[in-house]
Amino acid sequence: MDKPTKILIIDDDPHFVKATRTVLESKNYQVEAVNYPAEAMEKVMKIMPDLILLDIMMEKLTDGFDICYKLKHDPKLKKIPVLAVTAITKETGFKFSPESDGEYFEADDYVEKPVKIPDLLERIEKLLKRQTQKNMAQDA
Amino acid sequence: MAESAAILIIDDEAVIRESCCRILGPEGYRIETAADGERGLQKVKELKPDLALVDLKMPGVDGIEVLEKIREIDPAIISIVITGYATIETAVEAMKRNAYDFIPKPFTPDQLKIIVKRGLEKRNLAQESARLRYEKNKMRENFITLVSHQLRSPLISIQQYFEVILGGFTGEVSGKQREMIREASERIEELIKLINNWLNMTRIEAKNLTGKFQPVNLSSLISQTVELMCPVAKAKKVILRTDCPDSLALIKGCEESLKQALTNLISNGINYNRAGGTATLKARENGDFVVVEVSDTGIGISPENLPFIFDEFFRAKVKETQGITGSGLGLSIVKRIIEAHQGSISVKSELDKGTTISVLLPKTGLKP
Repeated sequence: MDKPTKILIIDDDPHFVKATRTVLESKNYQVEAVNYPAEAMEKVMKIMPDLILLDIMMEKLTDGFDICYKLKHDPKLKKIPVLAVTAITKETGFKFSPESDGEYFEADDYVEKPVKIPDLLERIEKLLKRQTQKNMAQDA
Repeated sequence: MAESAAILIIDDEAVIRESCCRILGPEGYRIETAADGERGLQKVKELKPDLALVDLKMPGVDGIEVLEKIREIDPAIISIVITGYATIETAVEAMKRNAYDFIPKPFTPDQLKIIVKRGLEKRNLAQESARLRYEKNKMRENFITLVSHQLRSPLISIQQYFEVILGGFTGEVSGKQREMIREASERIEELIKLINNWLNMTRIEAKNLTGKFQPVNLSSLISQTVELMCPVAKAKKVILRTDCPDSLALIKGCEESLKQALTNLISNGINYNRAGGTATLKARENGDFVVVEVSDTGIGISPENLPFIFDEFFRAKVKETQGITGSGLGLSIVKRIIEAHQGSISVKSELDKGTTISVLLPKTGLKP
């Protein structure tokens, strides 16, 4: 049997982790989580997940941005798809969008909190599929 | 003080420089000297002293000019003038150039010590108050961001749990349970909106909107906003009408906040209306102003409630408003935005007939 797909949730809100874990585990994903931004990179390197759910605003406004930058500028880690999850919306006064901030924030996709579950699952599948295709193309 | 204060003495007379050093040295200050204005200013730039003692009468660059230049380099540096001819005129000239005080020659050691000490105290106070002002502003900004995150986070977690439960991931959900969770979720949504509104209002206050001002074409802003509000009107079975010329004089403002003001006004016109009613947005030029009017054929506002409708959190508690959700902040936000644009807002209403809100915004004088 194939190895289960590993998803790492980086979020300082244990409730979001719990709720999302329930959903993802029911879909047979293997879920790991890290609650503190400072521990995120170590965890990523240790478990080498297939996909990362990354919260943007944790202890600091910029935690998610910092982690994403580190991930996307590490030759070993940059291929891991990053799905940014954020409560930062236009309504909270922050201008944040993958279109305008893509240059500074190289997440592969993003969803807004509270996350609509079908939407979340769909985006995760899409990113994983894309990655598999990329890997196959590289191997071939 | 963590670091001893730095004092620069600019005087062409060696005896004055030496005596100042002798008097002030034992007080623990860091002291530098310069024998003329030019070298003095060079040292001001390099050393950034807390206080400068400046002789008014020097060959080359004179004291008055030195004072002027010190102010340009750093207006927070305390300058004290040393002068042998303390006249009213020179005093006024020096004070105009930001000098803090005077010490006439000859002076006693105590006079110098006292005047320097006072000058440094003044500098500390000024620095302290500038720092406090900065921190207050920063805290205010951070506070808004923090509040945004802290207040919304738990609500968003609750919504997330509801999503998971309603998705059937925790077992089957009965029809009655589903209905109640939906309602609970809607209540949470209202609370999130309330927080967003409150944040918006705090922002209008905290940040100076005028920093974002640019010429705004109201007629295109109006058509954009009306287009956005059409689905809302349709859902409430309210007819949304616009009566606005294709071209209106430009006004100076912040497009984003003006759009919010228009949205709030139209939204009120729709929500406090009846099925089959009409909400109309009219805009025209009138003298030096552009007038925007939003009127509805809705429930109206009673004369006793009318004076309070722009107050924060005020909502008319009558039978007709029971089914309408709102934070009571919509109109106060509009009022703040309009007033930040040097405009004015007024209301006319008749119970059971409808309400008209008129907004006046000053023209820029520029052609669109």
